[in-house]
Parts: sequence; C-alpha cells; structure tokens
Amino acid sequence: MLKSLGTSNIHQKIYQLQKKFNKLYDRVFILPTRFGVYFIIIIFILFLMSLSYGHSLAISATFVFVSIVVISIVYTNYNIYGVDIKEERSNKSFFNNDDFQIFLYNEWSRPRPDIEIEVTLRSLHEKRELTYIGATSLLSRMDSSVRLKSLTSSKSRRGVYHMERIKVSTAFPFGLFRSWKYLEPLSEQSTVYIFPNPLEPQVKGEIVTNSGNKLKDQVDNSKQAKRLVTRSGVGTENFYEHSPYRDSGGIKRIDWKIYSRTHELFEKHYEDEHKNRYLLDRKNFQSYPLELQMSYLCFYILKFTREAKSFALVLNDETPYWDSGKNYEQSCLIKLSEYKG
Amino acid sequence: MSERYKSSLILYLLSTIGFLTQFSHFSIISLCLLALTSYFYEVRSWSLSKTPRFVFVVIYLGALYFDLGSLWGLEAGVSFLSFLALLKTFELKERRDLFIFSLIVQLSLIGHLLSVDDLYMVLVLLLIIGNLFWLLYQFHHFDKKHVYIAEITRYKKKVFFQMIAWAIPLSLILFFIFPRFPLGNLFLNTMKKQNITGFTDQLRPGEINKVIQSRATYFRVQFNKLSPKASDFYWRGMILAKTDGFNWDRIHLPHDNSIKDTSISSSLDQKGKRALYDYQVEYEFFSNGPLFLLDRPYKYNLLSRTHTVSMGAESFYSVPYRNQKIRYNASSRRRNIKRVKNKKNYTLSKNERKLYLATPEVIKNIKFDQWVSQNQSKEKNIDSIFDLLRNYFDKEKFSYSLHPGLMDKKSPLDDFFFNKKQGLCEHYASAVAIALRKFQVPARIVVGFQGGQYNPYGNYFYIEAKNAHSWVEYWSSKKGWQRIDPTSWIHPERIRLGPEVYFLSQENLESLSLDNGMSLNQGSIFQNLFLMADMLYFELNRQFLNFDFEKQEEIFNFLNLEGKFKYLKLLGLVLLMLFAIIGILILFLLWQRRGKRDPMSELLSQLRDRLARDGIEIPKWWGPESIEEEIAKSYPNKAVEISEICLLIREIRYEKQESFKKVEMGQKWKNLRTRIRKI
Repeated sequence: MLKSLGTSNIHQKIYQLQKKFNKLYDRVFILPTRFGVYFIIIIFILFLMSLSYGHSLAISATFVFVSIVVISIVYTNYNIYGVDIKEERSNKSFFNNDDFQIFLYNEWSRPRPDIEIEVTLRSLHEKRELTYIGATSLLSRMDSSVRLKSLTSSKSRRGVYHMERIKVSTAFPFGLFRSWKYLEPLSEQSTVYIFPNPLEPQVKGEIVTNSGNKLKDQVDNSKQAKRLVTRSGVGTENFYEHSPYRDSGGIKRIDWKIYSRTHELFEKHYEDEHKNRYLLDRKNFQSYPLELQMSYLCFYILKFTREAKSFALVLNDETPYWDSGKNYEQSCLIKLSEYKG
Repeated sequence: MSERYKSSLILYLLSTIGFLTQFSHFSIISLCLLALTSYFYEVRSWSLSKTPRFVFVVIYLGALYFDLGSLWGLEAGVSFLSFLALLKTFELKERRDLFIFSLIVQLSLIGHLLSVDDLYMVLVLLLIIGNLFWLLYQFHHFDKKHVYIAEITRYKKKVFFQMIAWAIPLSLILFFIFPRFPLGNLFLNTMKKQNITGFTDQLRPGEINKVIQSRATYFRVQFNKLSPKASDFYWRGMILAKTDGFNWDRIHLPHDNSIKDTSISSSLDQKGKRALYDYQVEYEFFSNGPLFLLDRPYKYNLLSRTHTVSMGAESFYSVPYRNQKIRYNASSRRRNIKRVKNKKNYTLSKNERKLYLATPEVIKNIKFDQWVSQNQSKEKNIDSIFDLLRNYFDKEKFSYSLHPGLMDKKSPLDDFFFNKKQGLCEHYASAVAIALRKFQVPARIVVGFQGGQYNPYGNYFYIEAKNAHSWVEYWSSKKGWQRIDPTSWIHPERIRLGPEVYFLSQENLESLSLDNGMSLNQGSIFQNLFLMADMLYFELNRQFLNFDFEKQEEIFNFLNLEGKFKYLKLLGLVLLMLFAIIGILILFLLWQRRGKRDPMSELLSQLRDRLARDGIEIPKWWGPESIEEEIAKSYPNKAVEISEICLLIREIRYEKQESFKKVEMGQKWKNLRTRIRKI
C-alpha cells in the first residue's frame, strides 16, 4: 500500500501559512519525521542520563549520535536543492486508471537519491482534491520521469483539475528528517484532464451509423479500417462536402486550393467517410450509471480513432459534428472529462 | 534469510554481546534461547502470532522477577529491553518494524553503556552506532520498489562515509567542549543494592592467604609530584575495633578528634616543604569499597558518581550509583601536625577510650591473659611494650607463613602465641592489638594494602590483591594515632621488598637487597612490554573517564571564568558555540550550493533577476529564444543587447566543445558573465 509520508498536519499548516504570506516557492523546509522525533527523544534521555552520571562513555555515545544526526540534517536539506519540475514534458491528460507521469530535472552535478513527489490536484468544478505521489532517484543534470500513483481509491477521478501544489520531499540519509519544498506550477499549463477509464460495453448494438447499420463485429471493422489507413490515412475516394475549418480537425483535411483562392480555411470531407460515420450518443447508454456511460463512450472514441473512422459525440442533444483524427479524439476526451451530467 | 533480519540480528548481537557479562546467567541463557528460536522461525519463514508473544512477555517478566528480586532498576530494565528487541525480530516486515527495532536497541544500549566503564568500549560503541545508522540507511526505503542504478548506489555509499567522517570530529569537539553541567542525581534508583565488594569488613586470621596469592590488580595510584617512601605505602582501607578475642569486626566509630580542628592553609609547611601527598586512586573493577588512603588522611574528592559514607576513624566507604569504578583524588599529611603551644595534648574521649580498650572474652585465651598479667607490672611505656612483644617473637622464633593452618577453635590466640608460632600478618596484627589493649593502650586493627608495584613508564603504582595487609594503630597521647606493623618485626623483607618475596626460596632471600627487589619487577622484556601497555591503557582510561567539569574548566581557564556569573558565562559560551556550529553548517551549505549548480541555468536565472529589476517579468521555464522574442516585441530599446546575449548563450550551449576551442569558450563565458552583470 502506498502511504503519504508528507501530508501530515504540520506540513499542511506550514503550507497554508506560507501561502498566506506569499513566500511559498524556492524555500526549503525541514522537520524531523515521527521516527526522527522518537530518535531525538531517546538521544535526549541518553544525554540526561550520561550527564547526571558523569559517565564519559555514555557522553561520548550521546555526542556521536548527536553529530551524526546533525550531519544528516545537512545532507537531507542539501538533497532537495536543484530539483525542479519539467512541466512542459509532463503528461497533463491521462486516463482514470493510468499513472500521472511527470518529469523532474536535477540541475546539480550530484545525484539526488530518494526524492518523493506529491502533487495535489484541485477539481475546477467540484469540491474535490486528488493526491498523487511517487518516488524516484534523480541522476545529475538529467530529466527523469516519475510515475505518480493516486492516493484516493475512489473509482472515478474523471474531471478537470488544476495543479494546486507540487511538493518534492526527501528523507534521504536515514529517514530521520524530511526536507521539502513546493515547486511553482505554471499557471497556463497546469490544467490537468483526467479522462474516464475506457471500458468495452457488454452488450453491443447501441452505436448506430447514420445509414442505419448497427455496429458489426469488431474484426470486420478493423480489417476495413486497415485498408483505409494504408491508402492515405483518411478516405481518398469521392469528395462529399466542404465545411469551415475547426481547430479539432487535422491540417491534412484543409483544402489548400480554396485557401489559395479565398484565403479562407475549409475542410474536405469524403463520401466514404460520410457514409460510415457513427453517432456516439450518451442517450444510448442511459440505463447505466454516469461513470460507466463515460467509460463506454471513451472506449468507442479510442476505438474509432484507432480505426480512422469519423464519429460525432453527442452528450446533451447538441447538433452532431462528425470528424476523426487524433486532435478530434483529444477534444472529445476533454469533453468527456468536463462533463458533469 | 532476509537481508533485514540478518542485519538486525548482527546489530542486536553487537549491542548486547559486549555487555552480556553484566547480566545474570538467567538473562543470558533465556536471551540466547530466544535468539535461536527467532533464527529458526526466520529460516523456516514461520510467523509468531500475538498471543504467544504476550505469553512470552509475561513469562519472562515473572522469571526476571524471581531471578533479580525486583523489576525495578537498571539491570531488570536493560534485560527486559533486550528481550523486547529480540521479540521484535519475529516480525520485521515493514520499514516501521525496523525503525521500532532500532529504537529499542538504542534504548537498551543506554542501559548497557551505564553498566560498563572502560575505554575499549568506545570502539565497540562506534561499531554499534555505525551499524545502527547503516541499518537505517540501507532500509530506509526498502518498501518502495528498489531500482538499482550504479551512480545512485555509489553516491549513497560515498555519502554515508562522508557523514561518518564529518561526524567524528564534530563529536570530539562536543565531547571536550560541551560543558558537563552538574545535573545532580536524576536517576538515583539504579544504585547497586547488593554488596559486591571484594574487600571484607572483618578480620578472620588465616582466611586471607588465598587473596595474597592472587595477582589481580586492585587499584592504581598516581602521585602528584611527591610520593612517600615505599616503606610508608600503607593504604588504610577499613578500621576494625571490635574483637571477640581473636577475630575482628567493624563497628561504627567516631571521628578522630586529633585532626578535626586543624587545617592546612597552604600545601607547603613552615619549612617550605610540601605538607601533603596528593594522589589519585582508581579502582580496577566495579565494586563497592573503602577509599584507600595513606596514613593521616587530610581530604578526598570523588571523581565518580558515588555515595560515600564516613565510617569513622578517618575511613570512608563508597557505593557507586551504578556499575562505576570508584575514582578519587585524595591527599594525606606528610607528617604529624606539631602540637601548637598552649593547646592540650591529644585526648581521647571516655567513650572512645572505652571503645578502643574493650576486650570482651567471647573466645577465651587463658594462657595469653596470664602472659600479659605477668608482664603488666613491668611495662608502662609503649616502647617497652613493643620491645617486650618483639623480644618474645624473636626469642620464640616466630615466623611468617602462608600456610599456618587453622588455629585451635577454643583458644586460637593461645594456639598461635604459644604453639604454632607462625602466621600471616593478620595473626600478628590481631595478637599485638589485643596485647596492647590488655596493657591499657587503645588500639585498633587496620586492613588495607601495603606496598605496590611501580610502573616507571606511567609513573604510577598498581596495587595487586597480594598486597593485602593488616596492621595495628595505637594511641599515643603525644602523637595521636600511630601505625605499628608487627609483620615488619617478623618478616621485614615483606615490607621492604613487597609480597614477591613470598615466592622466593630462603637462600635467595638472604642475598636480596632493596635494589634487587625493585628489579624483580622490571626483569624481562615481556614484563616491560606489559608495564608499557598497562601504562598506556591506564593513562588513556584515566584521561577519558575522568574528563569532567573541572577539567573542562581548566581548558577554559584563559577565559577567566571565575566569580558570580560563572554559570551564566558558561551558558553564554555554549550558546556561542552552538551558533558557531550552526553558522559553519550554513556556510558549508552555501558553499556546496554555489559550486554544484549548472552554470548556465545559474546565469539564466541571473539574467531573469536583472530583467525583473527593470520590470520585465520572465517565466523561469523560458529559454533564450523566447526571451529574445518577448524582449524584441515589448521592449525594443533593449532588444539588441538581449539578442546578443542570447546569441552567446546559444553558441555556448550548442556548439561542439572541442579541446582546441576551450580557450575560446572560456572567453565567451567571461563575455557572457560581464554582459549580464552590466544590464
């Protein structure tokens, strides 16, 4: 089982205080861990006893203990310096059951062993906080990825989150002291999307093409998709219609001829694609709980994108918009994670 | 067997094995049994549920109670803690268990430590502490997925040894400088209750001969500057004043009034010679015992934490608060104090007179009584009494013997005095003291040590068990209490040359001189080596164990720590030192922080700071390109300057760093630095 080592009350209080005075970042804190407190108490007892007996051996033992502990404070403190986050490399959107992968960077020329990281995500729409923790050792002047696992075991963490705080901590030499610091999240890039977990529905048939055919066996479809993909990615057969360019569509779809004439962006659509497009309507799954609905929709979004099919996602009776491609998939998944029911 | 079990068991054994001898046999046997059981369980990878563990604890506590008589005190506590630590080895599953285990070991280590008092224990201790921290170090992360990375592992090992290397000088500084504030006795209950003295407080003539043949060192003495003649080495241990007619026992005695009201103003007497012998005594082993002082003791000062009682007649008995060796400084007068004119002679009070003259006839020595009454009319002077006794011993050819045999039970004194005519110092002392009392001279027996072997390397004497001796003190109205050693009449070599002469044959004895006697101790190379080793150990031990508040004050003498505010000043000194240490640590950290950072990111952050001063906020994740763009867009007046700097940065970062370019690169670095500074 994973345990949060750094979320004790004292740490949180310090965090709140520091936040209040707006001096949070670039500051290294250090406190003894619980075991460290016991350790210090025992050393203190040893100290009292040895002094009261005037016992040189016990006194020397005390001082050896004390000096090792003091030196270990220095090393614990030192071990957190130069650790920074590489947010631009970190993966900001991931599925419910996946790990949150971020990148840490060690600015210094010495390795940084036993670095623990704790990221708190605050939901933008609900009163909910998620904590992700992970541990790693950083090599000198190198990026290294850390896989963070969620502490909250709730089944669905789907949603849009803001990266509230990123705390890196270490108890490196002995675990007697813990030093930590807060890394500054980048305000624009710190939105995190957690997508629903893709799940294949037990009963098929809810998904309907616009031509009225029910979704057939998976194998057939994939064969067909392969053929389509191998030609030139998106259907190449007959031109069907133009539509104004949307961000979600890929650059491949843009009709450059029209652009050269009119300086306006239009997307091309093909007949083949138009015929076999699918409508992903939430209403089809209405008998299931919300999270399960989202999971099924997510599954189909991934599946259709993989098979290069065009589909439309309808969550609340909006007019369907058909599209395909990686960018469209991403925008659909974001829609799913934002959906509140 | 798991790694953590192995390491913890090693730590456990290390921390207890050095101290096990202090325990009772019961503890040793049961702890060994438990250790074996836990080993067995570990090998079979069985586990022990909670109920039997609880039963174990109850049984052990009960057995401990029957063994020691109480569960209160250091020994029981330490024994129980060791037991708990072993019990913990049955469940070393998580990191938490390991931490708890090491805490228990640490606690029991305190107890173990307080029961030993030897220098070599420092090494054992260092070993244990090193092991303890190594255990913490190794397993601090063992419940996380361990990925072996060579660089990290190397670095971790390096850091561990670095830490130890830093810690040793720091602890040495603390040891010598941190003030040993006298805290008083916070933990009094650990005083040893049972008497473990090797020195009896009774005299049963004939029983000492086993002790006399032992070579075990009893205590060591070092004189400051001046030492008495070897023939005056009489270490008074206990004063015995109660007799049953042959044996002697201790009773409570009053102080000797003779030296009560006299004090010595300086260490020099009127003639400018030293008036005192100053010496430091250190027991060789743990024991309750008397303070061995030379004749005419003047004062003593205990160095170890002990409870000392006066037993009257200027003798003292000391009980350490725990297993600590008795160590003390003492001084004795060199000679008797001269009587000041207009003052009375030394007097004995009525009670004292009664005490020191009592001869209750529990054991009847009819012949001896008759002999005394025959001579009583003749002899009134003390010297003539001694002459009488001495002549009698000479005439009847009394001799010194290690094996005089048991005396007749009914009248042992008669048997010794008229039949056997041979005995140990005890026999002579007892006979002479009783005789003196019968002649109405107050007398008492002193048991202690006589002589001592000299170690020329360390300039000290070591007194061995074979130096055990007993003699007589008698009252003289002119001089006060005086020592008389009847053994020296019979066997003067014993006193002159030390107890070694027992073991020489009679012929050799005749040709012995004092020099020969001394050379007995310094014969072979081995003996010299032994003396040297003994000296080294003694000196180190003395300096280490006796290092206390007073010696620390000597270190700080140059600060002139005298008068009212002594403790305040000391406290100030401590605070100052603490601040100094913290300051050094901070400097150390800053120093480390400076050197190790990536120079380019350092420079970039400098650039950011400079720009921030002019009100240009730049996010810290921006590289040189985006900085250039931003500046060109919103602050065109600075664009040229910044773009040049950014160009330099790019050049340095992305150009191939070949060896012939090194000089050029260095110039570029320099250029960049000065440019950023000039913004």
